[in-house]
Amino acid sequence: MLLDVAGLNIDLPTPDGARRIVRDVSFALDRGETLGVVGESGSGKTMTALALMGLSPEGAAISGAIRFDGKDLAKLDDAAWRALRGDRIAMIFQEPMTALNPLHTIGRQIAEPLIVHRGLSRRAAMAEAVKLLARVGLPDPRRARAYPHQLSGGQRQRAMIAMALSCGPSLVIADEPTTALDVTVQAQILALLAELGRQADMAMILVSHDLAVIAQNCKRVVVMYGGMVMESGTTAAVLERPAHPYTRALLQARPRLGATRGQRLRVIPGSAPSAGEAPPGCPFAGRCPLTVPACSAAPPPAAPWRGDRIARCIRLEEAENVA
Amino acid sequence: MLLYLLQRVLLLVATLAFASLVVFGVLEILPGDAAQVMLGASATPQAVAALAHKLGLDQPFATRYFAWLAGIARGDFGLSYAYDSPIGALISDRLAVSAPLALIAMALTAVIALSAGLFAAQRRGKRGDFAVMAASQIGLAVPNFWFAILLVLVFAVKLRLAPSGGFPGWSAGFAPAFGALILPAISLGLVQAAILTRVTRSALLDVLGEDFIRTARAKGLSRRAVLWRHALPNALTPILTIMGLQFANLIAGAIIVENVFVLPGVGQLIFQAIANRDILVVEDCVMLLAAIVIIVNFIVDVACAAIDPRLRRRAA
Repeated sequence: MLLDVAGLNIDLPTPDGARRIVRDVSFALDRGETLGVVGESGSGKTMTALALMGLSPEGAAISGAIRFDGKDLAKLDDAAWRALRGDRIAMIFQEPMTALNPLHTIGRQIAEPLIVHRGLSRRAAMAEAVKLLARVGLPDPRRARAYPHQLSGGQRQRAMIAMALSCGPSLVIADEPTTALDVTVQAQILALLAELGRQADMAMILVSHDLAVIAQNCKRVVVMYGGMVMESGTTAAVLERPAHPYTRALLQARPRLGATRGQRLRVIPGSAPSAGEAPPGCPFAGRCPLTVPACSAAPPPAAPWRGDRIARCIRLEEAENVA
Repeated sequence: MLLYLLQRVLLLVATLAFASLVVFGVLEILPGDAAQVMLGASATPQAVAALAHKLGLDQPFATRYFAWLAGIARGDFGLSYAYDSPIGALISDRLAVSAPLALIAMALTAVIALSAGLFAAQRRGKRGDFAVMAASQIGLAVPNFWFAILLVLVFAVKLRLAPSGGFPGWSAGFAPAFGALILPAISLGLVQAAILTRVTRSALLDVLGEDFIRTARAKGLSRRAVLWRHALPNALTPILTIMGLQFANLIAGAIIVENVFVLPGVGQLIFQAIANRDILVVEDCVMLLAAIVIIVNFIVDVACAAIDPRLRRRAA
């Protein structure tokens, strides 16, 4: 087991007191495995990812356990986090234009973690950066001297990947890595990530709101809503036979080929709870067609369902019959 | 970068030429004859005509304009009517006071504002931030002549640490001359620092909220390395721009402080020249100030482009 997140809670300070934006999140990841985390914006997926990097917003209170490679990350001090970040755990961000420093060449930005973590000289790190760029599909050594604004979106994201992989991390967290890219480039970037991950036996957490991206790249998936894990299991099982009413609604809201022209998309009625407006019960209760009073009373427990799946819903049996 | 530099130099020359035309032209279209203005209403027509001839006012506009430019290029700024001495020497004597004053004040401004701004930005919303912001609020509200008088009262009159005014000249030695400029420089610099501190703080806070700062932290850099290597360079463009404006302001806008400390600076020279209707001196001084503003802006532009590669591209 490389990563084991158990009962993770994140509270953010607000003028009206602390608000819990991530509630009792648990999942685990093996070496070399790719886990998908899917959810709408505000579902807590990015906050969860940032907590794994120790980069939660200032003032955030984190409770629960994050075990990585046998260490409890929740207990690390600043120096220990720094040693881990960019070396053992790396992150790829959504928007490669704003996530790269506009004043530094990409070579310099890729070389930086090597200088910090490997103690390489500037020259040696730059030579390594050129090799890394070749590995991510930018073989021209002049690219290392380019500034971010001189590259296309796909090239920038490749540079970002080279930066994240520079120290050979055992876990990469990719937060919507292809959302800002054209569809054709998206596929290339995901294929590149998968290939590099396989070569280095690197585990990856792929955060996305795009079910197709998750389906193609992840064996297992965690579905988040309102700061909670609604359902988790193998991707095939969860997407083909969703147990939780939320997962079901999410799948039905997808546009599909072959649908009759003019047929409207199924939308989920109501709107997602804004982060922190945590209701006492199930966060989906207000929009769920199967809600009973008990749903809003207490958060549903995480219960095993049909083999290795886990779902948080007290109406799973009923949900199965509605299908 | 070389192409960019060439473009900026060409633009600099063009702007200077345009400014000289405006400065020369504006004084040209002043109502009445320059010689009449200088001599006053009671002058005889003969005296006015004689002065006009002496000043070359009977020549056509273009001839006079190019003669003026050629003179400046040779270092010949003409003769002051009121002082009856070469304007070039007059101005350079005054610049020997104003330029060091502006440089010392600017250095003070930069050191105070950058450190206070960095300090406050790192402690956003905490006590240190509030203290800096409150101090800068006071700095913004205080007029610099009042602050100058306060400094004289405290440091010159009460503590007798510095002279209350006057300038012994650089020939009197470095220490006395420098000493005479310290209080004026503080009164100019501290007030400017209040503005620049706020600019620095807000520029840094903007940059610290950027995605690439989070990327730098995700690489495992320390907060200090993130601040110095990633945040500060990105915040420097607005800071340098404001500093450029402030420097021009320090050279031209020091009149009041020069008066409080009885310093023979450029500001005082312009003030006296206007009072004396010494039009040639006014003309040359205005041209000098315009040139300083234009050149400082040029330096700021080039410095910003040296920092930010995107600016080099945009100019093309």
